[in-house]
Amino acid sequence: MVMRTPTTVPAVRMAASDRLGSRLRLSAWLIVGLIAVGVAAASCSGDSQSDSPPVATTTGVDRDSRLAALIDASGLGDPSDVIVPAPTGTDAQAWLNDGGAKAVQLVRVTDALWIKGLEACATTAKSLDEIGTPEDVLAAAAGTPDVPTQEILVNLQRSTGDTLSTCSDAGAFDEALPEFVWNWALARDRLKDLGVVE
Amino acid sequence: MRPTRLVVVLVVACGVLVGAAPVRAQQSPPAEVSWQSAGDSYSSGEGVAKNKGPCAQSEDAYGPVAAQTLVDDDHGWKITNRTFTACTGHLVEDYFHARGDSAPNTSSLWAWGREQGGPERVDVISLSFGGNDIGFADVISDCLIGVADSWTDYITLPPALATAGSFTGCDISEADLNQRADDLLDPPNRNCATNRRTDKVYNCDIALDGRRGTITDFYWDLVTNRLTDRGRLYVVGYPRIFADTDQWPAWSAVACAGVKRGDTQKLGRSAEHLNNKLQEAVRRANDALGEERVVFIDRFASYRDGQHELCGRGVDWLNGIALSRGDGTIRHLTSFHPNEAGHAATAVQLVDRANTTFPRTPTATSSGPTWDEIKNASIPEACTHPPTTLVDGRDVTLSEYQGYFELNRSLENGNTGLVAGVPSDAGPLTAVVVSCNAGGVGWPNQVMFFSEGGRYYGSTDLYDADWEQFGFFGPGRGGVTSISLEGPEVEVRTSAERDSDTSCCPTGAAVLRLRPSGGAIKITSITEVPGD
Repeated sequence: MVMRTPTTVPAVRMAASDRLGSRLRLSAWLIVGLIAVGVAAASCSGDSQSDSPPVATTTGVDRDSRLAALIDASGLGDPSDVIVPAPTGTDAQAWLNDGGAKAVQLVRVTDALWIKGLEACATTAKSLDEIGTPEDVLAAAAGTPDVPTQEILVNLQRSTGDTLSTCSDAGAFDEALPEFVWNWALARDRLKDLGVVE
Repeated sequence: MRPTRLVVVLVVACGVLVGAAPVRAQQSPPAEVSWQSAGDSYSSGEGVAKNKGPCAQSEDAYGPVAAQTLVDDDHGWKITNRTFTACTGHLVEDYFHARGDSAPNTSSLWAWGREQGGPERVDVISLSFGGNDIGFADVISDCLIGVADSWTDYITLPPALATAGSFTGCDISEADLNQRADDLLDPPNRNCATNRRTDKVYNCDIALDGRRGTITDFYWDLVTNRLTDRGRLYVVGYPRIFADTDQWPAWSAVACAGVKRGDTQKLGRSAEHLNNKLQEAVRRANDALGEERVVFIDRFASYRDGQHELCGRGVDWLNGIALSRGDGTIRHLTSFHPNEAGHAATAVQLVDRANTTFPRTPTATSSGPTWDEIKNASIPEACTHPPTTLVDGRDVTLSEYQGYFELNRSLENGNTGLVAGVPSDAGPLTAVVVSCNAGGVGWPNQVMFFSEGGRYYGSTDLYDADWEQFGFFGPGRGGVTSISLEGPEVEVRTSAERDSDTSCCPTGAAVLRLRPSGGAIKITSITEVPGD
């Protein structure tokens, strides 16, 4: 069962109210407005390398629950339970911060696919194109000098292509998304473990 | 193979190989051997990091490694002529036909071997062919690695074209791929005018040397027209690329090297099917030849047994997606090919099979005088009998009381009594077991050697050896039970008389090695046969 993405305005409103506490309502709406403008600008410019990918459509709580639901739908178990051997040395980190950076960007950009769903297809593809061609990203992933990390990133690259190819068919997209999300979450966790992303 | 794993892989693989498949040392290596390492990218070393040239050749490929190992590691082979004609992207038809396009080289592979100094006929050819002939290379380089030109293409192209595989032709069905393998042996369309490489027509027969035929015919042609009389063709199969999914690590739950579980299983079954068909072709070729001249090296099984396929539990013997060392781009052909460790493992298999299947004894049709040439030879004094000219292998001048003299074309136990092709300074000789006496009981056998035209060369009565070291007095009467050619020497097995034996009834046995030189026959070794 795939959760549908909530509409934008209530979600942002809820997030803002959570943060405000006793602050002035006027200031809150100003902040919300700025966030919305920023998100829109980033989305339009395709700034895929931003540290703040377009995630403003849900709250953190909603995103977490959606992620959990999609992972559950994959039937592959919890990726955080997967024991991945620690790399020997720091070669992998060095690669991912340099020649392999495109593979890291792949993880950062593609979260929009599961956060926003179908509507993120075009912008995600555009953002990815600005990072590099599919082969560029595949090469970045395949060059990672740590076998498990390499395998995880290569699989995410291929899964991303497969998922994008279903964008014209909502049913197929919903079907492909859980497996993609499982790959994505595993990749994100691995990059966190390596200290490459926060 | 990922660069950082390479050293570890090689060390581990060597350790595993030494333990798992000890190489047999042979006591009697074959004489001078010519060796051709042919085949496609799975033979050239395409997957080896430092392969060179347009054919992507590496001296670490299994063929050159096996040849060198046989020379170096106490196997004692003397490989005096080596050619390396394996070339990436090549098909069966390219073995006899020059490629007319931008091929890596402009000659056929056979002609290329000759240009490298190869002889008209070769003793050993090792090769792998068939993968490109069924388009498997296209599947590997395109289906497994190929991706869209841009990410936007994935969502803008029609759904039927938008899947990753459809960009590249990965949509071939398992049944179609298997049918192509079947058609290598039993092509439904004969005498076609097509070229598999350019026309991509897979149900036609193959262009061979002066005819078209099956891959079985290809093996037959190689043995008949390109190998020496003693030659052997070693056909190496193809490995499965991906391990069974139940071996995959947890982080590869969805895919291995970017290839989904279902696709890996499909490709694995097709690889096994191709391997099985090639093995069947080898059997058919041997049946047609009437002897085991073609030997199959089961690369599929060796990879499988150790779980050395990608994502298997063993050390990977194949590359995943490999990158160019120069610009870091993906090197499509190098990907999904055997790496150094994989080639090393196949070399061990090949060494083992060559040691056990390459003949030590040439056939009777090898060079050296025939029975017809020696049966009426003139011989010097022997067994105290004066010089004479034999008639049909016998000294017919002797009376019953003077004894007898006879060349044994065959022995009493049915074994052959002669061997041809014994190398010597007078050219190839034929050795034959002699029975004689000077009246009374029979004497121990002699071995007499003849050169071209049936001219007498030399002989030995087998006494000139250190029989005493085994407590023997000498050879038993009429005691030779076999004679064979082992490398440059003749091996004779005979009964041996112990000091305590009565002359009638020797209780020992020994093996002697004879080597002709300068008109004399030297016994180079004597070995007791235990238990006799």
